[in-house]
Amino acid sequence: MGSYIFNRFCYMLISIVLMSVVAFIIIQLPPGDYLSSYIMQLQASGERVDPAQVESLRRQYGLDLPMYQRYFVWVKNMLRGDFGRSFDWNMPVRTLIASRIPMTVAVSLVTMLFTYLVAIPFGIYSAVKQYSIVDYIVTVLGFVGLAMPNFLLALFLMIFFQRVFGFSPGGLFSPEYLNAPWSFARFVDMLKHLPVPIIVIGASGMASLMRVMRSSLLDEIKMKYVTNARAKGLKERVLLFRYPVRVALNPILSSIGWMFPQILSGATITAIVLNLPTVGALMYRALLSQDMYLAGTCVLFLTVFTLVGTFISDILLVCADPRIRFD
Amino acid sequence: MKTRLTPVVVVFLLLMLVGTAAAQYNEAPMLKERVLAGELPPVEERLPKQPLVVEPFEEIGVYGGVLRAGAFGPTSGGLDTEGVRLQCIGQIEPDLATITPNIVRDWDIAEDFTSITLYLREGMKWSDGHPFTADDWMFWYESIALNEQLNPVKMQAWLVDGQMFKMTKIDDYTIRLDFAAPYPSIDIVLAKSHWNGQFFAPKHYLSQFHIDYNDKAEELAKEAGYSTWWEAFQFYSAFDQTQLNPDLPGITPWVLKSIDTFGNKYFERNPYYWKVDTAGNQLPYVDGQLRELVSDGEVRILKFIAGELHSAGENPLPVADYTLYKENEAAGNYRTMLFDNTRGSDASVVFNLTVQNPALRELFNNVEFRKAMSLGIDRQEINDILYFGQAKALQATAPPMTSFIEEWMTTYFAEFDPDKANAMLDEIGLTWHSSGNYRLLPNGERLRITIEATEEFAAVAEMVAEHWTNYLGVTANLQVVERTFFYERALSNDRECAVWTFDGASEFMMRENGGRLLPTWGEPLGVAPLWQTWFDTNGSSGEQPPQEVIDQYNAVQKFLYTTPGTDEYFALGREILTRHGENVWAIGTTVAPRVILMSNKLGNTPNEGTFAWDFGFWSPYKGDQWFFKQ
Repeated sequence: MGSYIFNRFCYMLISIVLMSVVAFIIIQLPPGDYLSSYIMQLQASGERVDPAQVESLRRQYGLDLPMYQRYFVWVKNMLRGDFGRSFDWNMPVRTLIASRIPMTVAVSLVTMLFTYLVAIPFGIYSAVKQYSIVDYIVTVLGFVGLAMPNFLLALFLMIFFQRVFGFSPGGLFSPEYLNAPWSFARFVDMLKHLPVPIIVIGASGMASLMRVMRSSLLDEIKMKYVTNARAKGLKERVLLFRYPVRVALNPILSSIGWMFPQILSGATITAIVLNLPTVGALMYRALLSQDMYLAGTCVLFLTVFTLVGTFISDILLVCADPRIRFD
Repeated sequence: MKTRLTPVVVVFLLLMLVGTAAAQYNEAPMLKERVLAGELPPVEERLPKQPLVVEPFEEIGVYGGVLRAGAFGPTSGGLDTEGVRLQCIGQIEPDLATITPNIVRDWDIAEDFTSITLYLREGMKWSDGHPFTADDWMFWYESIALNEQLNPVKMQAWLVDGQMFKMTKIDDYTIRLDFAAPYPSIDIVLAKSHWNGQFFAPKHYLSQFHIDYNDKAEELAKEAGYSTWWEAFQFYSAFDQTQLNPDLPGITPWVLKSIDTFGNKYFERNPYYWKVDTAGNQLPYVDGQLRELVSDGEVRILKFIAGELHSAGENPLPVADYTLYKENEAAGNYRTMLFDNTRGSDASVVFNLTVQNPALRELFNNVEFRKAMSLGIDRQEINDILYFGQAKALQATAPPMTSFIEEWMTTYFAEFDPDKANAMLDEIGLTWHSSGNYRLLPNGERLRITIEATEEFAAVAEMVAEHWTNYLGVTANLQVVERTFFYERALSNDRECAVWTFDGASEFMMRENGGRLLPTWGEPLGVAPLWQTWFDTNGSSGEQPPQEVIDQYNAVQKFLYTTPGTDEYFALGREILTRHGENVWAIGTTVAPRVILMSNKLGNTPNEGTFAWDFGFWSPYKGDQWFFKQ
């Protein structure tokens, strides 16, 4: 077990290093750089910059160095905790990302909790009572949730909640609470804003989880050990939860690896439509405007989270199912 | 016997003084509290000796409220707050023709337009209470405008005949600007000084970051995480929408108080604001501004319907959504208005005349090709589908209100005539592929053009691409790019064809800086970046443009220094527009009115008008005298 974890950990480290190289290259692929953005911003406000000046600036920022040297500068600064400055925001990348992580994690965790709490029981129910009315309803809703684009659902729900309940659309707070210190009223205001993102972000995840749970449990229920246990008089409820459900959870456990980066990015497109202050929305804008250091850091963070998530789900799988061997 | 003032008389006289002064000016309750708490001097001491008296549009307002408006990016797309806040040296009045002194008390323009004397308001103060004097202007001139690190290339507006203007301090409250040649558009430059570098800066605050005043400025900058002092200085001194430094003193009605990590900015009343209304109430009426970051256009409309935002004029507010805005007016308690637009074309199509691909470059530089492509656009369809027929189909030139425009210019090759266009393309030698589906370049390759547009112009660009592909056999693909990236592509000469607004071509703008009629303005249309470089570097790099481009460049420059209303003025204006029109450097599509949403809670706000860059967008409508009705 110990050596298995160690091996996995080493693989993870190697992957992170490789991914940082790939992330850096991808971000530098489009034409233009940090500096040309900067110059364009000056030009946009009516100023113009001398081309000779541009060259000296480029040297100062180290943008005339070959790509591999720039990569090492980036990594070196990063190891010291300096992720560079965001051009678009004119703030250190670290401050920007750090300020958004609590909100992002809060939204994502609540969403995940909601997803699991709804999807697993309904998945189990529709497997046990296959082809019942409830199974059909859940299946139809599940497919709708899968098929409906999230941003469209977001718009519908936003309008619905605004029209029916008068909730402020978009964001996590009403304007009067935006800059207010934390208070009970502000907390209630945030709660009012949470249903839309939770339903929207949760909908597709919930639908697929439910389908996975249902089908893997169906496979399991037909196994002979279940029939055997039932024949020996084990109570249906105990039987169900002690054996087949535990086995059926395997695919869900292995998907936790993907859940981690989602927690950080918080469903990018939906976040943009809903005006949520999450890291995903930040990254989207950074990628579009070639805000190099911000985009690079976001991509790298997502990568690290994916790898760490995969690492954890590997370990969880081994713990939950002793049949999985490690070599 | 000497006159002896008895204590009673002294007290009486003092009371009289206080009494008259107190009756003269009134201030916001939030400031009165701070005065009573001893944090602020009384309003009489905060106002200049001669404050600017503003006549409210409708009525004397009441104090209070926070004006909320959306913004699209952290340092861009914030016109609806910045535009309501900014103050220029001169004020463009709502008639859009008169310019009156604003920040300065008065000015004298020399008869031959070679100098202007500005009289500052004695006793005017920065938002931190420090006096606002001629030294702040000289600091800006000597240490910012002339500084080679901060401004290696001088702004167009500062140059007359290629020479930087001179600024001289006459006394603490008098400044003179001297020009190398007559500069008749100086009033417009001053009326838009916010976009022309501002002309003054808070010396008492900024000098600590300047190397000329502080030997340690370089170390200070490094400590704060900047590589040079001037990079840090640019951060600390930014006063427009890129401002992120809440410590910078300002002279606007509201000043930046804080920024949260979501990118929302909070502005609070400037206690030293130098304007009063006709009843002696210190402006502004509204207590503060919130610049809320709403990156999605749909969410912004929803927020309007929910009554959360108060004013909006910044794009995109598509005319196509007019019914949506109208339907929800009651729910959101706002009104929808259609303001005039001074654009030459809302979205215009421009070919990069110095494009890297040699075959395309030869083609794009052929004026017959550009004419044919213009004929191949079905403007009526664009109008019907995107603007509900509310727009006008026009060629991209100066707007029809221009005094020296000729009828033909607005419609030149702007009709939809695919047959004629195809005949012209055949003539150029663009043969059809044997399949009959698309045309080939003279070198035998398939003719493909990539059109780049930002999201706001994507719909028009898509229709243009479709028209060209379907009617002319010129395969066009649309690439939608983010705004900053769009600018970059223009600069780096990577673009083939762009769609961007053709604004700033009105008479006002032509007098100010030539606007888009300078054929090579590299940003953001990207007509010919290499020619731009050639002009910028006086011919030492880039590529030399053809003679007619040089002629146009010189004519536009000359126009800046031509006295308005003279025969020469009209002739030169007409010459510029003629050359621009005949060369079809920019292909126009349609011009739609500008949608303005305004909360009904706000008083003293306009009901009709013009919303355009030419006049500083919100500027003529004086946001400092808007107020929340009780």
